[in-house]
Amino acid sequence: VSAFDARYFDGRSSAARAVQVSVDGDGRVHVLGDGVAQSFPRGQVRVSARLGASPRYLYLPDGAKCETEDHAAVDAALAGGDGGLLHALERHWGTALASALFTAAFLWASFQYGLPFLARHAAHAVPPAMESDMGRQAMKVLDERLLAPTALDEAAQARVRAAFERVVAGLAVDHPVRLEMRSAEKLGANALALPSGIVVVTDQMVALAGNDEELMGVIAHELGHVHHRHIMRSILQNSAAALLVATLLGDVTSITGLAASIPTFLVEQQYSRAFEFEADAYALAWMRANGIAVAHYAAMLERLADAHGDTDGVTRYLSTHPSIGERVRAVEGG
Amino acid sequence: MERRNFLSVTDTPAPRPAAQAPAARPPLERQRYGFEFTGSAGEYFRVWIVNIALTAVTLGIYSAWAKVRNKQYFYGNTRLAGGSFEYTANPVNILKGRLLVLGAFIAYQAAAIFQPLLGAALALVLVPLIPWVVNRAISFNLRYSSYRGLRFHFDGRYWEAFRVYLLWTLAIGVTFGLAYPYVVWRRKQFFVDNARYGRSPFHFEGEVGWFYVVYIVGSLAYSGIMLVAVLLVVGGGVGLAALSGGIDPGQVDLGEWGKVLAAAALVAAYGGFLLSVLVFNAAVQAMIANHVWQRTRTADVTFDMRLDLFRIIWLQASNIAAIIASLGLAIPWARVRMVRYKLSCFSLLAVPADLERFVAAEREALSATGEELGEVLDLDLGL
Repeated sequence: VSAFDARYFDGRSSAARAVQVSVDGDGRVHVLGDGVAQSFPRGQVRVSARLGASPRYLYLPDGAKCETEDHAAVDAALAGGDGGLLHALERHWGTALASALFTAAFLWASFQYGLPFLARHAAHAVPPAMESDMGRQAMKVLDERLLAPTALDEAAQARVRAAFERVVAGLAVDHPVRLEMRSAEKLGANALALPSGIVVVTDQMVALAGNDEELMGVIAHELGHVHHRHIMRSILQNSAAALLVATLLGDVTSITGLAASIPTFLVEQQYSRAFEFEADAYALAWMRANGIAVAHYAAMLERLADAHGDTDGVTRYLSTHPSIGERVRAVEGG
Repeated sequence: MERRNFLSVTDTPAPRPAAQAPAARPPLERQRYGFEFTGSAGEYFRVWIVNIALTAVTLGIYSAWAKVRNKQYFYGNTRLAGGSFEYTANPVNILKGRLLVLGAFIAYQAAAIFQPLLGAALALVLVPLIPWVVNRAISFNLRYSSYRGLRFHFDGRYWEAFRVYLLWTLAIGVTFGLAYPYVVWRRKQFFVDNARYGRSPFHFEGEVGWFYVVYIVGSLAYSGIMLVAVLLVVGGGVGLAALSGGIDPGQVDLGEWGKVLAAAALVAAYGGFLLSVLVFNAAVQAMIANHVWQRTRTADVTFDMRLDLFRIIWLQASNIAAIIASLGLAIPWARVRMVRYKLSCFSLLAVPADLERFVAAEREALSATGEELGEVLDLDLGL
């Protein structure tokens, strides 16, 4: 017979009564004291799981409840010894350390391999037709905020169009593509790939390119983004990363939300840089296959670095693009 | 009520009349019962990290159980007058609610991305559901919170929530934010006045004027600090440029270390901005919580909360710094520390016998079977 002290609440009023709970040899639970004298078969008394040193609750079949801190006695008399599996995991620092290491490894593997893998497959499963609204929408927003109609003359436009056609002809792009030319004072020399295969080349980019080969390198790079579905993948990956962190932390309120947003932000930049390298590789493969010297691509990157100012060094971790120095080294090394 | 002015929280140990002999006449004078948090950061850290790992192992399924366990830890360790609070929600219901919300969210996002018009139409359908969701969410949280064997309840009606959460929220925009303190006051009133402990309703007597004072003083102080911060950053930048040989941007070449410094300054400025928003928000919430609880009562029981503004600011700022520096590992410590402080400033005043006299609502003795669909929704709106 083991006995322990508890506070008894009948479930009908807030009155607290001091009781003693005991379990006899026949497996009956007795609750005695302060105007309470009850007994129940042990099987009908439910016991809450142990959770640190927080109180334990015994739920009696008539809706009453006993509350106690005597965990040893409760575990011995009613809950089968050790407080349950969860408590066994939670009571040791060893399992806590193992959990922390496992969580870190899980996050790393998910960010590095799991989410990119899932996003790649999901993005390729999206039919191109579904992207067309996204593309139209993105083009509209850009036209309103950043872009103006092209100021290139007919000859220059024809030159760009010819370069575009030549790149497309040499590639097996499994996606409809379209060229758009715009003037962009704010963006400067730039090229963009939008959903549904729209490639935007700015007048400033055309002016910056030293020759058609360099321009074709830029176009091939953007088509690489199209081919690899980078926009769709980044939308999917970034939302999945945010969802993953929120799910693990279990809440996204105030300060934990801030803590969650930092790794998510860094991961997003990392993904974006990975996509740039992938598009570079795509462009280089096209250039090699079509007998165009890879040096043109490196030259173009150098020009862009001069035009925009580069972000080598520590700041690159905050950037969506890899430093051009890095990319040039990758081009020359590969 | 009158003792509130003469007693501070800290110098009054909370009496714990666990066992009163029936013969003894209970004192008729009101006493102060302090809330107390009995959990520890180390213990909670283990609970927290083990549950995160289990959530990862089960690919998120376990998150509902983890949530319940986390909440139970804080509820169970919240002690008041010889009793503890208990969170009794069924994780299965929370899981169902999460799947429902996730499904709706994905559908909405997909619609918004692929068919913006359909997304807008969907939003129109979802907006009238907001008051209902608010009611169900508060109701869910209170219904599964109990103390001394009695549950809390929430009786918010749809149209009241409609006015408070939709109409008045629209008014914030129309009045350029001037209505905001009023709306916050209405929300607190809506929450407290519709809450019950057993059969006993809570009453809110907060004054809207106080909400205006808090928000006006808060935004003035915040603007002032922001102005100083901006001046410091600009001044620092100009100084840095001057030191490195001239203010003409064309001539400034800071070199690698200069760029590192500039990047660090940028990150610090951005982080400082976020931090100050969170800290100021905590301070404003603390001032409001003090007022709300000092003006809340149920039956003959009144509440008191005396959060110290500077302690709250210090706790919040150091918590954020610790969480960032520890890559999130300090989250449990930060939570425990904040809750322990807040509860140490929270108390109620009651004649001892009154605490024993609350009674359960009629339906309560029946078990909580027959969950309504709405109760699977679990959103933390919190007070």
